[in-house]
Parts: sequence; structure tokens; C-alpha cells
Amino acid sequence: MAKRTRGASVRLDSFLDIMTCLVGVLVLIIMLTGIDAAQIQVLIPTPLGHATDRRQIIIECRNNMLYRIALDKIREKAVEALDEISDEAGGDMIKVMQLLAERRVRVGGYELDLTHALSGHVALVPVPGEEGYALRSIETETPDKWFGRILAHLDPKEEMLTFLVRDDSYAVFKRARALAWQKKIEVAYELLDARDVIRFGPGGELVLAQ
Amino acid sequence: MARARRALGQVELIGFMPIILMTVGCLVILLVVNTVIIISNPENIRITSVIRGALYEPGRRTGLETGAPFPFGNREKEPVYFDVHPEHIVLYPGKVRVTLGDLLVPGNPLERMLDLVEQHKDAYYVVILARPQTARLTRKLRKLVQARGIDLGFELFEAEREVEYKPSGRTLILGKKE
Repeated sequence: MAKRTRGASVRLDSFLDIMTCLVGVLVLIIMLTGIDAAQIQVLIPTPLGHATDRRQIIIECRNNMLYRIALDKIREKAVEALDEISDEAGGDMIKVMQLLAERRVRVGGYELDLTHALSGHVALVPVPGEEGYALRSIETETPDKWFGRILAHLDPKEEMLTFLVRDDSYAVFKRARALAWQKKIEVAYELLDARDVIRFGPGGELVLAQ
Repeated sequence: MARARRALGQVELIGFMPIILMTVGCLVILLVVNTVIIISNPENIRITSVIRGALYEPGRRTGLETGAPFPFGNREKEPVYFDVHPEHIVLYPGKVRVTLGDLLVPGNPLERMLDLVEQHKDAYYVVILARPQTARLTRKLRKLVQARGIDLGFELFEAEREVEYKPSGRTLILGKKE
């Protein structure tokens, strides 16, 4: 019985030799790769703008809050208002100018200033006291919340986010941008002074995505 | 007697086997770690980054400070930084301070730096760090840089935030030329 047990046992000496050789080879490779790896620095990308033809979804960062600028709706309302003014003035250009300067059209948290509408420019005046969305934490921003919903519905291949950032709103902008980047959404941003007017129309600058 | 001698001369190596196996396991892990480090930057490109995280919130850990910023950003060219304050601009490398008055003088340090970058625009580009209340100045600077066909990066940089600038070898060369 004891003989049978001895006969069934496997001789592992040769396997041990192979393993020992393997350890030696691995140590050698690790030494070589270690020397290489020690010289390598972690590459942190730096900002670089590039032109893009993606459709822009525009968000203003003001009072450390986010406000969406619905450009399509603004254009639609502006055209409606211009048609009304044209009808009211009945071809009298002085009256047209007067009505353009006086007329205020509200779209969301903004009023449209049509003073320069004849040159194709529409200015947006923020409505005082209008509350935006305070994105306080990126951890708690889920797709059922205001900004999370925008991100969830955005197609990164076709659309991008453009932020118009006021001086007082760097923090909320960076939170929003970090969330967008997490979803691989391209982001462009423009710095605005506190009193800068947001103006849309021909002759603007090309916004570079980053 | 002979059997006892044989038993004494033979060393039992089976107990050594698990140790060898564990050593091999550890070495394989080390090898994988080294390989991952090498793969992350195979050509060992070094660029100077002063922005190390997607977020900056003083006194608050968000977990994203160390997360790689600029997922669509530059990984090849060496950036030259223009730190734009409301009343002056600091140029890196060199930490040269240029006041708004200096900008009116032809051949000022900013112009010289732009000339230098323009000559080597395949390897260098400009990153503007815009502090609060610098919207108009940064807009003008951007136009100036773009008019020379130099690539441009743009980052909003908080008023109180320090620029931690550790130049790479290539930037030092540019600094010497300047």
C-alpha cells in the first residue's frame, strides 16, 4: 500500500528548475522595464482649442448659476417680433427704429433687445432676479436634474456645450465642464465681463472647442 | 543503511514550490505595472502642465483635482503660458511680467515671445490663463495669437490660484533663446 503511494507521487524537480529560471528571466525583464518606467513622466494634457462644426448648446454661467440660452427659440421669437413691428410701422422706417428700441421680448430668463436687429444682431439682457440652476456638487448631479438632463440628452458626436462665463462664476463652470468631459462631450468657453452684453449675429468670433 | 544515506543526501524541494510560485506572481504584477507606465507615454513626451485637474476648489477635495483634465487636449506641443491679470500679463517660461503700458512699446517681451513661438509653431503653442476681469484683454490676445497662425489653448484661472510652473527641457531651450 505504501509502495503504491510512493509510485503515484510526481517528481517536481524539473518543474522547479524551470520556475527558477523563469524567476531569473522575470527579474531581468523587470529591471530593464523598471529603468525605462522610472524615466517616464505622467503626461498631463494641456488645453488646445480646435475648430468644430458641432451644434452648440449654449449655457451662461452667472451669479455662480447656470442659465440655458435657447438660441432656436430666441431666433423664432425675434423673427415674430420683427414681423409684428414691421406690420405696426406700416413701412415708416422711423417708427420701425422707435419700435425696435422700445420692444422687449421675453424668452426664458432673458429679454431680447432688438435695437440692432436691422443689422442682424440680437442682444440678450438677463431678467433681474431670475434664478438659474445652482450646480453645487458634481457627485449628486444625476440625469433627472437640470444639468444632468441636458448632458443625458446631448449627442457627443453631433453636439457640444458652449459656456459663456462671467467673472463670478468660474466655480460652477468648472463643475459643469468636468461633468461634460466625463461624458466625453466637447466644451467651448468664452469669458465675459460682468456687464458684457451677449450678442448674437454675423461677425462673431469662432469658438474653439477644447 | 544505504536507504538512510540516500534519505539524508536528498533535499525535499516541494515546500519551496509555493514560494517560487508566489514570487513569480509578484514579479508578473511588477512587470504589468511597469508596462502600463511605459504604455501611458511610450515616447516619453514631456510637456509643461500647470493645470493638473479638471476642477479647482480651494479647501475642498472633489476627487477630480487629479483626474486628467482636457480629454481632447494637447499631448505633443510644448505650451508657452500667458497668465493674464487685469493689469499685467506674466509670460512663462521666464516669469516675465509685462504691464499694459509695456504692450504699447514695439518689441516688448510679449511680442518677442510671440515671434519666437511663431518661428517654432510646430513644436510650441500658446495657452492663455484668463483671470477674472480680463475678458477684453484675453479676447485681444487670442486674436493676436491666432493672426500669427499659432495654436491656442484657453483656460479660466482663478484670481487667487498660484501658477505652479515646472518647465520641461524643451521650455528651458525656448527660455534661453528668449
